[in-house]
Amino acid sequence: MLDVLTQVAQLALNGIMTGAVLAMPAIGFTLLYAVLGFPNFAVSGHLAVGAFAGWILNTHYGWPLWAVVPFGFIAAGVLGVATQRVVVEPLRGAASITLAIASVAVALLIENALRFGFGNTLRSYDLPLARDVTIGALRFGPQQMQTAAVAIVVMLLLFALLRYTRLGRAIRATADNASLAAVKGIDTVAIARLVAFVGMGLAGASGVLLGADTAIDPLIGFRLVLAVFAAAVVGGLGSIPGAVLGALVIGIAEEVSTIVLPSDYKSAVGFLLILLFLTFRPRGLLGERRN
Amino acid sequence: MEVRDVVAGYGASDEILKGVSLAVGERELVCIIGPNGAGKSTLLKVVAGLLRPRRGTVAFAGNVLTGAPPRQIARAGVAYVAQEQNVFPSLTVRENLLVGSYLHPASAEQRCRSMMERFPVLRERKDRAARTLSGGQRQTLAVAAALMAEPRMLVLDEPSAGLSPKVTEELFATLAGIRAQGVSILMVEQNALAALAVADRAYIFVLGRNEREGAAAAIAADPEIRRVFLGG
Repeated sequence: MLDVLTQVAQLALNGIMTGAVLAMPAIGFTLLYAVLGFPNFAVSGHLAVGAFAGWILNTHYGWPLWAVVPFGFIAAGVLGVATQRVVVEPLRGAASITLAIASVAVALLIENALRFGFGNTLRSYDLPLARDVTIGALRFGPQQMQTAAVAIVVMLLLFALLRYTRLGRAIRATADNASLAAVKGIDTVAIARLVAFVGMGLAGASGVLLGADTAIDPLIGFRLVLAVFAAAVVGGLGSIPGAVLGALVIGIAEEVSTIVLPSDYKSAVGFLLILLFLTFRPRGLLGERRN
Repeated sequence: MEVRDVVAGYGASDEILKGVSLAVGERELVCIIGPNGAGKSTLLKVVAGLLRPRRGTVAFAGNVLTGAPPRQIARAGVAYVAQEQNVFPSLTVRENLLVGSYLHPASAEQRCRSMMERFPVLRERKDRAARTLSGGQRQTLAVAAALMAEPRMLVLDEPSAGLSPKVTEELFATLAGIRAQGVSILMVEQNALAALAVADRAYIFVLGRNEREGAAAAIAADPEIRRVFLGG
């Protein structure tokens, strides 16, 4: 009995760590959705760009992880602004499904450009090996704990920015009603670009953290994007605390499902949760009811 | 504010305004009345910069603003209040007021306090999300948020829509007070008799063209206009 409980606890812990990895791109995804009004699946390509930008600095120039994470953020963020200007802005006024499909095209373009440049082989960051931390019968990966801490700090900073600053109010106002925000004197185009920078930047930074924990290849984001989408839907599209909560729910559900399901099927849990939430609670756990 | 020969519509072949003109002087309250489809709200969208006219000019305080983005029009001192969706539902009442003063951040907090003194109904609900307000409270918030921008001119689309007669009366009294403080007002209003009672001048639009214009009192007293446009 104790063994089973330990196994469940370890799986739940692994789930929290998986959720921590998902939380940052999910925050980016949900922020982009709130302001731009469509699910931007290009986060997967931007995540991969961040991971590769970080990998180059780390393995070719010896930069440590703490310096590489902001660089991954900036590289993906700058690319995010470029795709916003080149792809999203010309499609202004198009239906959200059109924009969502365009974002899939952007993701494919970026991922294939990376394949062209770097090939499909797995690559690892050059980081000192760290032992797992053991408390009782439970093991924690130090890299995953670091990722969880970064995700929590990012969430708190973004939450504070959005809640307590003039810029944050302008972002939330634009998310609520862009034409009303423009009438109030807010430069909504600049706000959308800033959000593209931050949202895609978060995906890029999480690409670095993911790469530091496992290994990277051009499809690193593609494999994660369903779970990221599921986390945002479960938490409530547009809600930042919701994205973190959704990421934890998806992470724990995926890991705990391996008790009864072969682990190959654990990504189906994300699909199942999307289906359940869209059917029974479309606004997710913390999403706001829209007028 | 001077609007001259404006032609505008939403689709490529759609022409709602077929060449309308109007003028609003300083400290003047002007209302536009007319049947549905006359293009009243469309004209206000052109004035606010939300719809680019195909022809004609919009000028304010000597500056030509035709086709300028809403942000530039707001900077020029024009505050627009739409008929619906005129507050940010997920922002609190206080946040809505602060966003109203986005172009004047230095004085925003102080103006927010004085606005809440002026409209106690907003002070009592300052930390509540705007989506929880009643129709009248929401309309009051929309007007107050527009005033936060310290506008020289207020442009209002059907401010009394959905409001009870008592709240409408209070709203029009508030508008008269705002005008008395030096703010020009251009207003489209379905409640034509009540609007004419507070307005200085009025325009009647029919099918995207100017039909009549004149002093509000004269328009309200004209038996022909009363019969055709004011329901007797």
